[in-house]
Amino acid sequence: MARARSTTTGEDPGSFVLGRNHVGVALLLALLLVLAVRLVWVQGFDAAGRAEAAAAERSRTETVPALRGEIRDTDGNVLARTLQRYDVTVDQSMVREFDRPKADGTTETVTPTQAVYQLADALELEDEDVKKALDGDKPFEYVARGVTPEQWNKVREFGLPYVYGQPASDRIYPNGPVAGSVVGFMGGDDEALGGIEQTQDGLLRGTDGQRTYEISADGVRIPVAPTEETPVQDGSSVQLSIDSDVQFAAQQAVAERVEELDAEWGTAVVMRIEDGAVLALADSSTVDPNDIGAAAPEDLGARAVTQAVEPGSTQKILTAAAAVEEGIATPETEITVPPFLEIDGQKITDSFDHGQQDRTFAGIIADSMNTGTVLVGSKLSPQQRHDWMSRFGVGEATGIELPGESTGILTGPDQWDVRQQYTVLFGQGVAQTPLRTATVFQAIGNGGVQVEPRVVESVVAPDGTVTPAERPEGERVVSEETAEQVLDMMEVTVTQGGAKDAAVEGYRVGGKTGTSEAPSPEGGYDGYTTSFVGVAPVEDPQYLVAVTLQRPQGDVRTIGASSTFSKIMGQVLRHYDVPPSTTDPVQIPLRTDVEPTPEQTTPEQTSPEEPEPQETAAQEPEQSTPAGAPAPDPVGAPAPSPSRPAEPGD
Amino acid sequence: MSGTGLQRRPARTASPRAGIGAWAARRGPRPPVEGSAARALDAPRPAGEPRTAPRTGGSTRAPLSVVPARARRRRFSTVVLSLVALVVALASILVLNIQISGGQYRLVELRAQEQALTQQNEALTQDLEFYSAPQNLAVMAADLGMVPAQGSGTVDLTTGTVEGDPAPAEEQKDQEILVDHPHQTGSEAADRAADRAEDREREKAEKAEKDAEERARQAEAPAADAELDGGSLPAPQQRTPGE
Repeated sequence: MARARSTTTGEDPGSFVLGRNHVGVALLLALLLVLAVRLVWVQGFDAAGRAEAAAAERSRTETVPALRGEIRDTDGNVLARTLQRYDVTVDQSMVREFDRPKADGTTETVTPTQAVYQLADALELEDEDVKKALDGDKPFEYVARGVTPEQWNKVREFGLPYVYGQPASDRIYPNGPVAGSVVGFMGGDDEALGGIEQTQDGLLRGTDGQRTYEISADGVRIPVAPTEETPVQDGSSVQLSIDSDVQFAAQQAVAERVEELDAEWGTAVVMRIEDGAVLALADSSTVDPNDIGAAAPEDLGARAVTQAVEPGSTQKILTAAAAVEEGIATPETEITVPPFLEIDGQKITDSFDHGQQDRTFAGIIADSMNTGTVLVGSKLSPQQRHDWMSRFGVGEATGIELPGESTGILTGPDQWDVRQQYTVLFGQGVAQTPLRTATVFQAIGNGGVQVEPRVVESVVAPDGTVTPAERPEGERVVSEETAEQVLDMMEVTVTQGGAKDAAVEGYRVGGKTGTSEAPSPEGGYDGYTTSFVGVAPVEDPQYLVAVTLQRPQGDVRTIGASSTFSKIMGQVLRHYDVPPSTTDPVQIPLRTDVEPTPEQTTPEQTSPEEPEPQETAAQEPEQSTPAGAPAPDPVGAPAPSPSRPAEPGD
Repeated sequence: MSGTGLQRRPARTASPRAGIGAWAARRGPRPPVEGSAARALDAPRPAGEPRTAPRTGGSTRAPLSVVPARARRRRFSTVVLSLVALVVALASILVLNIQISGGQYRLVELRAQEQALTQQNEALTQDLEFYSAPQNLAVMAADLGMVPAQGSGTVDLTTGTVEGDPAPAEEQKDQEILVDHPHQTGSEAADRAADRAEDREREKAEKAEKDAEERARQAEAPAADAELDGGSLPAPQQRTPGE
């Protein structure tokens, strides 16, 4: 308008001027028309599409990954934690020289070679590997995975336009191999592959959230623009009853013994008797969940749960409990034990040579005599023997929250052969996990009430609410009186019988040794499985330790597990500030045909094993069904009565 | 819009005093006859009045001249007021917007700071937890020369006696920690521990090698002595314990 006015007033009116004026107006009108058409097009015909495209341009949708819950020990120490990491990736097709602006406004040229050196330095990688990652024409390739935020910040400052960082997470196990097989581990693609990580995956994992928001051209979020958010649901934390300190002590003690005896493996179970809470599940060699690639396949699980072994003489406690409960015997019942026992044409011998002896039932258990145990146990019918083992849970999984639990092997009495029906009484011809053996002793220590072991103590929701894990109901297996009497026999085994190494200074301890032959993968038997399971303090049993060693090398009398038990139990009792026992241990005469007290202590001290702190325990290799006939009594023949003090006179 | 409002307002507010009101007051004691307040009795009169008013008012025009000045001033100030209000409103919206965007930038900055601190915290926690892992603690204790206690006593507070058999710690041969340290990445503490473990491994290997050499030399020496004795029977061989 202004221009039009100025032309009319400032210039002479003429046809040319007037024409130009009209042309100007026409041009303006044409432009207006174009704009109008465009406006109508944009606003009228394509409004939705345009708006959508614009919104899509502005809006960003990102997945908010759920934070995986922690795994903690009973004191709240973290055993598994997720940390922020970055995956550094490259678009190889974009790799070329570029100009990088510097702080002072100038630019510098960065060649791919320079970028390789810088990246390699920041990521602590070999130059070669980085070069390999950047070479090629793939639009996506990893340079490094799981780098720390610190490293990624360094890389980001290089401003390489073809290098990207993707937020990732890494699972860290601060205690490494301590309880590694219990805690478990994660595979490459956030897949839980073992231990608690696997069994509690549903609780730990959580649900990913999503967030949509709009950003301005410089990448900053537009504050007033609409946002959409699906809230992320972080995973819950799982608190275990595992105690890191006890776990370490147990692992160290078992590893020492396994190294000393060159055994294949060893395990230790530490349990709180009252509620079956597992405080430690130790293996002589354990996976470090930070580095599962380096672990041997057999170290990946907790062997006390995955391996079923023939329990050996620890099972005599089960037989004793059954016999006492059925009223067949009491600890004081006198039994005449022959040098060996012929029953149904089967010869049952002991691990030491002896003549005919008059013993109490406690004396039979204390010195772990197969003959006496079979004499008493054979008064139970085969069906009864089977049912008693069943009642104690043999042949069933405990249901502990760990993967790959073995149920053990308990066949029906109709499938037992002539020999097996007697050998099951002393723990051969039946297989169970060390954990199951521990639960048998747990029931005895707990006044006859068996509580299946559990390792998850509670679940902590992201908002902090603690839900205690459901514990299985205790089940009464034997009466309180029976449990008490069997406990007395266990104590006598340590104080007067064959497991004096198991004693813990200041505390009353009861337990039972076990030695069985280990089935060879090629058939038959090779080597032994030795064990010791015990409880303390006997006057009010609170803790249980079960040690198992597989194929220890050496003389069968020196490869026991009682000294390791003593070491672990001592640590456990001191760790939990259990007051020392103030009562005297029970006294049950082991033999009724000799004067008990003087003869039982004096020869013990002069026995050949005493000077060295080795296991003098009654390590009795029982013959078992298949291999029993060709290789009976591996100890008896070559080393006549070496370990038993009272026997030389027999 | 503002124009019409400004024109109408003086007509309404000024009329009682400066318009017809002033003229009516001069006319004498007559009841006020304005718009809706006019009485029904006086109805015939107002019809004739418009005609008589110009006639009588012809000589008294002066009072009307004062009014516009005041009215114009008021109109002007209202316009300014509105404009100012508009400008203030716009300015405050602008300031608010600037502040919100500025706040957004600050938010981004603080988020970054929060993230950096979280990450730093994570790294430090990782180091801390690494140091407090039981096996690392045991290794460090052993490095300081600490040994496991041989016996422990309990103080019975009710009787004031010490039970058990507490003994002062004695020097022991180095306890080897058989549980490996956690292999972690991204923790300086872990890197250091790995180095230390490597050093220890190397030392152990060197020591074992030296021991083996020593043993070999010792084995040779008595053999030579035996030869010096001139006897033909070899010296009795003793088995080393543990073999």
